[in-house]
Amino acid sequence: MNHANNGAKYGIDQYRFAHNYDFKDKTLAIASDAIKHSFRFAGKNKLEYDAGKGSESFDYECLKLDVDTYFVRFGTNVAVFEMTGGVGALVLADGFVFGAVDQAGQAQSGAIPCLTDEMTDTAVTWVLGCDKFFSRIYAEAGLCRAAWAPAKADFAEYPAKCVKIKEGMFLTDVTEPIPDGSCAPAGSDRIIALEDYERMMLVGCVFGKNPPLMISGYGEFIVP
Amino acid sequence: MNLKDYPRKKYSINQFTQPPCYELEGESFYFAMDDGYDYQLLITGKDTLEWSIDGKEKRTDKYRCLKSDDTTYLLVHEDDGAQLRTGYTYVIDLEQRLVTILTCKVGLNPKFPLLVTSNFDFGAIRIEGEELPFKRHSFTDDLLGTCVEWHWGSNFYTQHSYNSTTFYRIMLPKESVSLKVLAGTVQYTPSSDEWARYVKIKDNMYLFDLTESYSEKLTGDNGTHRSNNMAFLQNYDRMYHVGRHFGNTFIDGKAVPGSILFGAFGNPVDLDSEFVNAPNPYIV
Repeated sequence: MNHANNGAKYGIDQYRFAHNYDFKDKTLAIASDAIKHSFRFAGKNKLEYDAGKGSESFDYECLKLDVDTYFVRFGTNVAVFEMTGGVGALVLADGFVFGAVDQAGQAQSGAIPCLTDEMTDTAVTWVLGCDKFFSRIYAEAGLCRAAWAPAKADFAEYPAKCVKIKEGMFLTDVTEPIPDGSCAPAGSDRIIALEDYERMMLVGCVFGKNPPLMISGYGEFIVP
Repeated sequence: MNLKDYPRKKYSINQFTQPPCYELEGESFYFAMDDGYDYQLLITGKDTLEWSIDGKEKRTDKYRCLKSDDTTYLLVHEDDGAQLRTGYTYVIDLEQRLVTILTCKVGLNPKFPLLVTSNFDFGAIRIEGEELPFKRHSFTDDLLGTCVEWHWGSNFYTQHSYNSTTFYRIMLPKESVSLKVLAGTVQYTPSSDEWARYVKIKDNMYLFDLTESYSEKLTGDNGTHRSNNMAFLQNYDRMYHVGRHFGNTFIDGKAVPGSILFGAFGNPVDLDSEFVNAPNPYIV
């Protein structure tokens, strides 16, 4: 029997990596100015988040993108922990937070993440499964043109925020109502993704009317 | 900047390796093995472990670990104290409490000292107070007829045909960098067939294992690499694999021991039936 298949069972989350549990039962924080954003990971899928206003409980999913960089979705929020440099970024309902990761015995050595236009002129297709992909052209700061399979050439323009996590790695937050009939679930309208241009791999999450959908994939450069 | 121009490192089959996993740190395992030699592993850190066979001398080594799904791990380490270079690869299946151990050695064949020899053993994970599972991972013919394209890195892809329970066949497409990288070796062999074994881990997950033995015997010093054993933990639900290679590579004309982790994303592919059905020149 031919076991190779087109991944119909999963859709755009076909290539999603296995969940990562490195943070299981650990406590971490991202410290930014006066606010400390604390995370207590209680097991493999629950965490307590506290930004000084009392603890909130969330389900979480964690995917790892490289040796020491983690993408954590909790509710409709995202945290990125870059443990080698000891820095992190948060995407919360009211915006971004950047800071140092508060971890015992290890000082921050990386630059604090920040909004960037370094990705301008980059044109890339991210393959999320068999015949499931999306393309992005970061044409100018704050904007990107995007298209989703199967309509390869049907690009539309959307607001994009890009954050530099470290050299070659960027967190992107693009609000884009993905057209019906594309490979993404109907009603999807926001993608937050961590893109590694060293190895050309990505992890992220698609948000919208459906439950958040974690994704992984590989990249190929395209000619715009 | 167009990040196409980002000054990235050079990769071969390791570009799309999935990130290492540290979550087994602090865990200990007792593997009750069918060949009678039990293994104990204590994962002491992110990359260190203590291990012993049959409760004898405890040894410490570096390990690396990848995940194929939420509960299945590929863990590898070498025995630094062994007389002959020895590598251990474990498929640790926490869902079914089963384990497969692949042991590879270099130096057993007097005619081809760089040839990797390998041995499988199957077992179960012992947990105090619970009965050992009866089932085992096992050799299988489930994959017969599978044709798959594996994407290892930017423009680096290969096509595999699994048409035998003891061999596999590989196609290096003209458009792929893989042909350029491996051309130095394939020109010396009458076909790309190599010894392979297929182990079923669970539904839609297989350990595919190959040893480049014909290329070692027929290519020798003329190739770009020497005999390698490659173990792929293939997830056909997700259509990707994680794996490791164990063998030797030529660097500045010398065979240098190496073992890298690798990974690839897959998709179905239609292979030419002439290629798939061509006779295997190595068998009677």
